[in-house]
Amino acid sequence: MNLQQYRWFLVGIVVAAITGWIVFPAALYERIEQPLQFSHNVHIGEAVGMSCTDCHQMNAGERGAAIPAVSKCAECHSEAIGTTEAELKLVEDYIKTEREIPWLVYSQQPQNVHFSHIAHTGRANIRCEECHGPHGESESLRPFERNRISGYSRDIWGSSITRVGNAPWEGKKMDDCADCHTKRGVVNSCLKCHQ
Amino acid sequence: MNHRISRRDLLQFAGGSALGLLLSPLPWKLLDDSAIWTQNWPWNAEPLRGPVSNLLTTCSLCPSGCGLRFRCVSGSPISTHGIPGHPASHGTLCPAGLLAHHLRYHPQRISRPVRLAAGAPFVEATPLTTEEAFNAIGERLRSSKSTVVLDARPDRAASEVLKQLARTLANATYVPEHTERERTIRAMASAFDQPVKISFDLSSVRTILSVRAPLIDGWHSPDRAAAIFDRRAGTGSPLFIIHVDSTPSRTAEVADEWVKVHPGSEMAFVLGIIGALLDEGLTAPETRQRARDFAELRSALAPVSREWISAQCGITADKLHVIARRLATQGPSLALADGQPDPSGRSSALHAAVACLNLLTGSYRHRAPVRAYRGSNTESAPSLDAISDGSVDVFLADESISGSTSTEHLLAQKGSRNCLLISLSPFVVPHAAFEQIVLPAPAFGEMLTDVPGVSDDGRETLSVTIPAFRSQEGTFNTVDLCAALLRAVAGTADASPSTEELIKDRIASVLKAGKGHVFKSSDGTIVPIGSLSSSEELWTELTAGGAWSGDQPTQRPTGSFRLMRSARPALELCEQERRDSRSRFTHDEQSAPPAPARIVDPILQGTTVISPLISKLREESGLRPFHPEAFDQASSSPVSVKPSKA
Repeated sequence: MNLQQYRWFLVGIVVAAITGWIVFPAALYERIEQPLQFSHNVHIGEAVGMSCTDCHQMNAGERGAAIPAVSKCAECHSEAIGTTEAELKLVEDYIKTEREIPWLVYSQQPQNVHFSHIAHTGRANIRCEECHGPHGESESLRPFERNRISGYSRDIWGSSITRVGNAPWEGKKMDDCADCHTKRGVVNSCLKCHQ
Repeated sequence: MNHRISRRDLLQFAGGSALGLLLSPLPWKLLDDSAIWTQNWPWNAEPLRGPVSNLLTTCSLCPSGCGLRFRCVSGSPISTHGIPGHPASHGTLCPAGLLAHHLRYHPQRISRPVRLAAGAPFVEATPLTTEEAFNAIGERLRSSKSTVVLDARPDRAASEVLKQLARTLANATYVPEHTERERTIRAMASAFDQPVKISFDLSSVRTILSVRAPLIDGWHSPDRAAAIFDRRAGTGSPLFIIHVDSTPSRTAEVADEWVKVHPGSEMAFVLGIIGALLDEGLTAPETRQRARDFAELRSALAPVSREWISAQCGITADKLHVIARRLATQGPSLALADGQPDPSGRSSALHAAVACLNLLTGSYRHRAPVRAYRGSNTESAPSLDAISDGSVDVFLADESISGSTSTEHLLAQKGSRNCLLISLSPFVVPHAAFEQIVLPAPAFGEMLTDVPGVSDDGRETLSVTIPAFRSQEGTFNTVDLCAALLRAVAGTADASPSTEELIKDRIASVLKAGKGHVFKSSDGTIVPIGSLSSSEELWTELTAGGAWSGDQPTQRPTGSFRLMRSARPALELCEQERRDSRSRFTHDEQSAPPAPARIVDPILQGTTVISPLISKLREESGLRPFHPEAFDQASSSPVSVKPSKA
């Protein structure tokens, strides 16, 4: 077989492969910095000793991620604790002005999905880490990677473009929910989540 | 070396690129992302945001009165759930109840009166002003020689207002509509010499003979249908179901045995079973003692030969005897029927024949599935069958709860040539036979109504549906409409009580009687009614998803009954057909293609307008699978769907 004869075919494959495997994934997501830096590790570490649910209160009726309101931060940070830039920004820009922090939520689900945290953490005894990984140990907030087409976070798909090799906690697509429900013997009816 | 890029090279490059892309994640990820992108178009509706709350109430879509919890966002219901522990439903809901909050958005919902010509489709409805509508209605009611006030949900507090309207209007008759279960109850009750209350308790039954009854699709409450599934799955006491029908259905699929009879021969089939019971002496001893016309029934059946019945039904006499023996020996057994009211009276005769069969097998005895107690739970008002054919000038149908009447073809028989159908309904449901004026009613979730009923063990029950949505402007509830009609037609200007006052009166009388218990949905407890200090407290409980149930009746009817009261209509119809030598199943019909599968909707028993999403969920999601291929439609002999259990 004369490869020279098919060189342009092979070139096409290589170019497309580079586009599909390298260029496309890089171009698909835009990186947006969070409005404020925050260390989960400092808060749940020994020095402060808080738990996830001290701030993320999982009201049974709430949708979404139970992101704490700035009033929650104000319980401890009514005055600046330390002199870091983030601390000063928190106090001056948000707490004193009573303005909510426009967090970019990594695990934000589509509007048509109802997800109850309390049903999963309370009733099914699923630990926060099982879905959110070591997020609670992070020293800083990584950039929010927004899918330019769908508008959702990269965390919904997972870091791997093929979804192969994703960590167990990565990926929050409907299939991931359904797989977990199947594994745990929970009913998988449409109306369970799409209420 | 030639470096020119030829057309062939370009084509090769394009082909290679296409292959390369297919082998990369790009097209597959694009598919997924673009699908999600379409969900976020700005013109797509967005779910409500706001505080989440729960509203406990009662479903009034059918008379079962299931406990209902609306999950509300910003005060608007967005999903519906059952209430665990509720005595009528134990947390179960049917597909209609599950999407009941959709009904106010139904495509056929109206917010102003409309006029519809006979046979016209929904889209040709002409809007009217309220004044135009009442002028037209008033004129027709004043000139009507016969008006029928049709109550699609009798026994409510508002039903009294409809009766009052019928008494006030000239030449008007109040006619309650009944579900199939109620029609079977009436047929059973009519056999007894003394007034009896009838209820059905399927928990004790071992063998069910279902004659076209949609046993798992709305004949009973969702909770009881679920219990049948549990028993079929082996998690309860054994239950053997024989389903008699000419076409496949979900109940036929679930049944142990589907007896495929010729279309329209169900009544003859039941008479065949009765004959087999009499031939083999398998009737209950108590029935032989108490029936005043046992011998008369035997002689009346004599001319109806077994061969004629076999030919009518398309099954052998042996098969009839096998089924009869099972009913008699594998009891407690129960026969049920379904047949939409029809002009020929065939449906009524079928119900009556099935009542006779239940009496012969002793299904009414102590701890048997037919619970008979002294008293009466059937209206003395005439049924639609009793109205003369072609005599009705105006039908005034209160369909505000059910959405539509279930007796359309019977209306066509009873209406005169220029009959007008005035409907009070949230929806326009065209009735082909007549010109219609539809007055808009509040949809489910917008209206206040009481939901009276009878439990399996014969207790009277009462619960209340409260509005979860604000009612649309320009809609009428039953009480409003009756008051407006009385003003327009009879010039009556009396201030009539509101729906709330009527229900409160009913609740006060329940409290005054001091009997029974109240289910409190707030904590799931059941307390004696005596523990409630005032009717206001009872009102509070019932409007918060609670339910009252009376004391269980204990006095059983000890008197005699007449089998021929039940059997005569069927025998007369059969005799007429036999005399006319008219076979209901001719050669032509035999060679005709099989009838399409009948997917019985649970709503047929209570309401006929449902969320459009239900059919999608039911028919496409596999939540309620139906496998027509499981049925041997080519065969005209009885088909055993599943291996018979001993």
